[in-house]
Amino acid sequence: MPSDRAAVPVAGLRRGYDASLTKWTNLTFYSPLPITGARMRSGEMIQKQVALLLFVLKISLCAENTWDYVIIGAGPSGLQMGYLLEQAHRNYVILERSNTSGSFFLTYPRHDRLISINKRHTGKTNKEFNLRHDWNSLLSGDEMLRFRHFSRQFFPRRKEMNQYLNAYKLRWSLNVKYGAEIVDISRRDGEAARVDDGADGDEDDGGDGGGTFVLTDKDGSLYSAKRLIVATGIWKPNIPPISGLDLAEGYETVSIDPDRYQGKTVLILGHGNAAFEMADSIYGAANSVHVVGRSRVRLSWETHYVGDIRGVNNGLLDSYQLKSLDGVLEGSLNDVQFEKRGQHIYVSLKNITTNDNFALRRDTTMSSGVWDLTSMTTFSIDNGSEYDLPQHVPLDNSLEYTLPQYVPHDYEQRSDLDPSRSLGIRMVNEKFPLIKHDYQLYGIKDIYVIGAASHWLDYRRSSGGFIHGFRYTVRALHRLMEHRYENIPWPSKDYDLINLLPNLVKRINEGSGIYQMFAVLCDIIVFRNNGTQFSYIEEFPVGLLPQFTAITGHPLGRHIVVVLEYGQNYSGPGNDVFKETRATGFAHRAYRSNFLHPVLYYYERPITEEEYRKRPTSWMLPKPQRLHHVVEDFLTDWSRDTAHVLPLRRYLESCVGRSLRNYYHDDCFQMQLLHRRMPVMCGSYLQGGGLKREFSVSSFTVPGVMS
Amino acid sequence: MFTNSVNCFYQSRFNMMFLMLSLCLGVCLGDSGDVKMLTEEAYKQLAHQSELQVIYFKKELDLGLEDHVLEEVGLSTDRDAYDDRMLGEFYKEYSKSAKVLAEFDIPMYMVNCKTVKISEYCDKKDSHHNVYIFRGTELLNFSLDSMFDVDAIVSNILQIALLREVPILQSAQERREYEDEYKGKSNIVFSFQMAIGTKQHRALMEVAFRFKNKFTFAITTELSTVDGFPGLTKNDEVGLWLLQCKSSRSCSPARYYGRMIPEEISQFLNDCMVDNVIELTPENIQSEPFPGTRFHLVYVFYDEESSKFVRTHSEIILKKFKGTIGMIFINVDRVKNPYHDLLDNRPIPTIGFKGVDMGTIVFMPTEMEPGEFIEHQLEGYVGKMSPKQSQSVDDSDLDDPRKYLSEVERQDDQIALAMSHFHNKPLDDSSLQALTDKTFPIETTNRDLLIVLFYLPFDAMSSAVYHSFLAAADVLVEQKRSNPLSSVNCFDWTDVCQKENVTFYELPAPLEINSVNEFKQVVDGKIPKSDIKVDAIAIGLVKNEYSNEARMVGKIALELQGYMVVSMASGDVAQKISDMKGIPMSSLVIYKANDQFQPQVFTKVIDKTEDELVTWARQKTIPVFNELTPINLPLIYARRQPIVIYFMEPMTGTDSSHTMETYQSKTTTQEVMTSYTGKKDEDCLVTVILTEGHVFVYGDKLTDLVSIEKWQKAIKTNNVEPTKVLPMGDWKPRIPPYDFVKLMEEDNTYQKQRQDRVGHQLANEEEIIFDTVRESAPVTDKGDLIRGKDELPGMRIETTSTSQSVPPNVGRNEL
Repeated sequence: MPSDRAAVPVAGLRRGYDASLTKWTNLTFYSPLPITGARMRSGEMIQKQVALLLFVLKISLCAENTWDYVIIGAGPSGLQMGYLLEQAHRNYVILERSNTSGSFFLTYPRHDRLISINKRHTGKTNKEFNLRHDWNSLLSGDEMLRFRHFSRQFFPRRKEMNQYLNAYKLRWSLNVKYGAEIVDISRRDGEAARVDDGADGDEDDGGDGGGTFVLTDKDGSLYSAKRLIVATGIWKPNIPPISGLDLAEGYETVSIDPDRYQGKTVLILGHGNAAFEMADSIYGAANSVHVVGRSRVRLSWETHYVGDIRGVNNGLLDSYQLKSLDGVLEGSLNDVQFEKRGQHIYVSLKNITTNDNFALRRDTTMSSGVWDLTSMTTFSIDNGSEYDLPQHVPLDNSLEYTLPQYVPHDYEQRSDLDPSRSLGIRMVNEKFPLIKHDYQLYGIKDIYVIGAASHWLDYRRSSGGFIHGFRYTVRALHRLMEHRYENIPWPSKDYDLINLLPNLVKRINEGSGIYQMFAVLCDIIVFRNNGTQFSYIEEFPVGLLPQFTAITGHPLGRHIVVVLEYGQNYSGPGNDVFKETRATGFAHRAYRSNFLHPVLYYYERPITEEEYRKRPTSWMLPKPQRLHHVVEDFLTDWSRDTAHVLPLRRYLESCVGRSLRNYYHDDCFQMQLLHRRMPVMCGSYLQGGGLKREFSVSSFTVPGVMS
Repeated sequence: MFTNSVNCFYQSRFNMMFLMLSLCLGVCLGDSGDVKMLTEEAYKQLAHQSELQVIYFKKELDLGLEDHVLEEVGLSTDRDAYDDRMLGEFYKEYSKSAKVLAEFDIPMYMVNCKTVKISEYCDKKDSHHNVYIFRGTELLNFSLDSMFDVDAIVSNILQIALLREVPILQSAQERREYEDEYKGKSNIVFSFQMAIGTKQHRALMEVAFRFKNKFTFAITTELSTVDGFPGLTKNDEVGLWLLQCKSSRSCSPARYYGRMIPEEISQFLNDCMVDNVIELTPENIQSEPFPGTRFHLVYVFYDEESSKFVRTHSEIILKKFKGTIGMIFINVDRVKNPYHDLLDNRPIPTIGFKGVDMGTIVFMPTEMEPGEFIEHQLEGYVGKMSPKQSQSVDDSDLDDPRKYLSEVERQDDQIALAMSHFHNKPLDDSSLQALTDKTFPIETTNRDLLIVLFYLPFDAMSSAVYHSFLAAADVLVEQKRSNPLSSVNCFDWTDVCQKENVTFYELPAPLEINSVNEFKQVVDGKIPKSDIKVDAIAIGLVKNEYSNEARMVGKIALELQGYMVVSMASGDVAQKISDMKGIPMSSLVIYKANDQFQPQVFTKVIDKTEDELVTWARQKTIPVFNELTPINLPLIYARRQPIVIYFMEPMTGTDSSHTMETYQSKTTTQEVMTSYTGKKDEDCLVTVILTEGHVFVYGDKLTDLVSIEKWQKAIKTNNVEPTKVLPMGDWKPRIPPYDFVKLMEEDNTYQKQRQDRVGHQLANEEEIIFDTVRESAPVTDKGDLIRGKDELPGMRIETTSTSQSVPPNVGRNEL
């Protein structure tokens, strides 16, 4: 258990270039793998000394490697960014501490089963659509690099993910340097890394002046980078300050052999997927398994957050509710302590007072003396007898709690950016680095965080902490950087207005980025040329909308934001997601749709930062001039004529102020001869298009209701 | 009350069970007055009754077990429980039915065989598995299997009660004989029912009972019996028609468009008895037309000249839509027409339709027949008519989505509506090769001639072209000819379309000519074979397919995609064509099938730029002199020059196969001509400058060429005022969308008011509870409970330096 995560001593390492570099004290990276003097054996010391000698030699012989972009970490997000940079022919390198891509998956999940869906068949051939149900693939132009070719399991094995990532790296010849464990990062003074585009809110950045980064790996190799992309993931154990926790064994090392738990009474700390994964594997062997966490269990099908407890791990809940001795408890772990007496571990409370929000409550319906833990936030202390509880409560003399697992959901793994040592880097919940909507570290220019470590932006809202989510946010960041550093505008497609409806219907029915990263990434329709044409921009971060032009390089006037949303009050722990009224099929009640469905916001002008901040509670965006909900659909198929397409057309018509009905070409002919201007949908007629009326069977023709 | 009796039944497990049940039933049914318990005396009296009676003989369940065995095992065996459940449900439905049938004076009885000894039935084995119908003596009985719910019981019993009044006719022959019987006497309400004993059958029988003295009824469960009746398809489960035999020798059927519920059928039959024609006069112009009916209104605008015509033709319409439409005749020459503005210079006579709940009148397009037009409008109401008294509708109807179908969801896109008829119908697309990401590159490489349609099924226009393309492929297959047509569905194969840079979806791409024979077929219009006719074909003759000129032709083909067929011949094939036709190599040739003065024209590719070539090709496809059509107007318009239009009487002796086209073009011509000149049927000459909307009508003799030339010069030099300036044409949306912002605000307001009300009540009623909670949980200054940390994830921001609040532009916007 890497409880001591001391940094590699840096004094010797820095000596060679201190004269030319000013140590940048705001950011220091630490070795993910602890190398402490206390634990080093003599052989290791010798190796270390040799390494130091080699390093000094290197410093004297080699110049530093210079890159425009350096990515730290060759996990899924690092490789995804590497692919995009490779395709854009950028000067980049991926530095990976281990000798394989996706080394995380060599160890995790401990029980060898990913909880990311590998839906190999959808009944559709649309590749973009199929990514909506493929949670493991990275984005690329090679269909053979879809994960379904690497695993037949709905929940794949971790080894398969590791194999996949390495195949991905090889297929695209990504520039990965293995064994490059970064131990220090500095920045040269006085170098403006970029011309400020004003899009990143630099006035709040704490005065970081920019400049080239210099990275040092444990072998002493130097890498200079204009931009740094942190893709290290969240994998370090985050151990809460609980008294006696050393009696427990961590998720990262605990035995996963069910036989090891035969006849044991096991307490698992934490209410996350790791805790329930552990419980699931041993509750058939143990006397009982109790899972305790601070808050109530959050089930993913209630919250629609894939990081909450997944169905694949919830066997223990079944056993709990059917009263088979296993159970789930709530309580703050800050108020308990663990103590070992003989072969038993006892859990007890510290300093109970009437104001404590945690207590042990005697279940009066049971006579066995078993104690139940309950949260006081919902329990009224109105019986003085409760205070008479002994301070140390053996759960049962015949029972013992064995091998508690500390993987509570709020205390689980954390980012490499250690707040206790990284001065100035602000952390969120001791877990995520504080970043802005452009994925840049708060207060520090040109360092971006991607992958699971960037999840703070949509924590418990969307999928940004998982491959099927961050593969899109990585692409968004890449597009952002392409404009910011390479002066290449965000990709867009231009169309005539005549193509608005079909393209939009197509997009909402297949777009995977806005589907997986619902409520976070949006498509934007930008009207141009007095509304006769439009540009379509995909997968733009919603949080950056107030800075749209600065981020993309595209002007913005009248526009429609296209997002996918769940119903406002539908998701949440304890919500009844199976209630009879959970879904509507009526287009006029589309705004009450609960399941994921497209929502369109029309604005006459760009929204401002202030408008965005002061948007109504529970609204994703400020109130638009016009709003449209496309009514939910059981199969997320939003192409039905009258329920989906027609109301959407009415909405688009109101936004552009023009009729978007199709006409036969003889109607266009007549309208052209009798008016100075034709309907916009006759535009293609003037270019030789249009449809002859005699095509349609006469019984299908309908009256032309001229407006 | 009856529910209580069922509970009694379930709870009784011992010897006293049936006594208790009987007492319970007796009390319950007696109180309800629906099912009457019969005594022996009362039963004997029934023998003298001529009305229909319904009796159920309730017997002790014969479980084949001794009492002590029953006591030991109870009624817990599956068989017992099954019987209990089945009979319990039946009693409930029987009681409900008694209440319904009481309205029709059909009493329903029950005999408790435990206490009432009617041995004839009580001793009869399995008699408790039937319901008996008596009319003096036993008429017939129904097995409980066919009396499973109130609809089945009521409909079956009413069917027996009305066996003579509503006969079941199971063949067209029987139906015709029945019609013959009533010709000149009575109209027949004829219904097709997929099955007897359904909710729809019950509705019909209830109505038949009430209207039996006003109409004659008949029913069939055989589709063939009503073969040829309007509006019936083989998938329909029910249909209803009024056969107008009373005043006609043909018994012409008028279709019922409403739902099969008693209220609406009754309304329909009442409306069938109302005169459905009125003439608008100054006296009745303010009155509500057809009060008390649910007629859809059909306005017939006519003038003196067309009076006789419309009167004659309207008779057919009125018969066809008897009971459904009310026709209002408006003589525009006599009555100050309140709909004058709506008419908007439409040619008279014309027809307008106003649906029963609609606020606007929809006018008949000129190309449609009145009957077809009305039928089409009524299609939107099939099975959707809501009764006038909505509260009388069964609660379940409140969830009927069709009731909410608003104008927003009423399709007004002609092409989308046409395409909607193809949806959900099996489509035989085997004649059109569907290409995939795998087959597309192979086929495009290997095939000599391949015409690929890229289409998007969501796009109505694109979908329409697909069906046209499919029809063309069908023809090729039928004729056993080579079929070069194929398609790519751009939703299924987004990637293929992206690679081909398909961003809009219309007409097919160019084709390659690989032999002189193919060249001839292209020129003759045999390739590509399609319903999409083209007036001109461009063919590039290039030295080889990799030359600059070939690339130029390729670019032109792309530019002209969807506009005209562009093909290319290269190498030896091109040389042979060149020699054969006397056209130099490196040329672009336009073949115009419809230009007798200039069937072919060519230019050297190398003499022009790409844009010039495209413009040249577009312009040269226009015949020197030809009829102005929807096809060539865009070409003419592109010149941005004044257009001289000669309006002439259509030539007589038109081939009958082109009737429709001639008719359509004639009406369009007439509308345009009337708009330009105010005249209908005189030859005249007009110059129109479309870009400015100026219309100049030549007023002198058409034979005076000098005068015409002068007139033309005057127009060119702005020395003559336009006769008319065309309106701009603001093609605004017809229907506003749903205002979801407003709806959401209304919902929120309602929710807030509701919460306030509930909160107020709770504050009064549960003050103690609130106080208790406040004591045990932290509260804010305002008294709000502080939520648990887990409810606001990500709220803790920590830094190793100084504690700071999170700036506004930082991510995680909940902050």
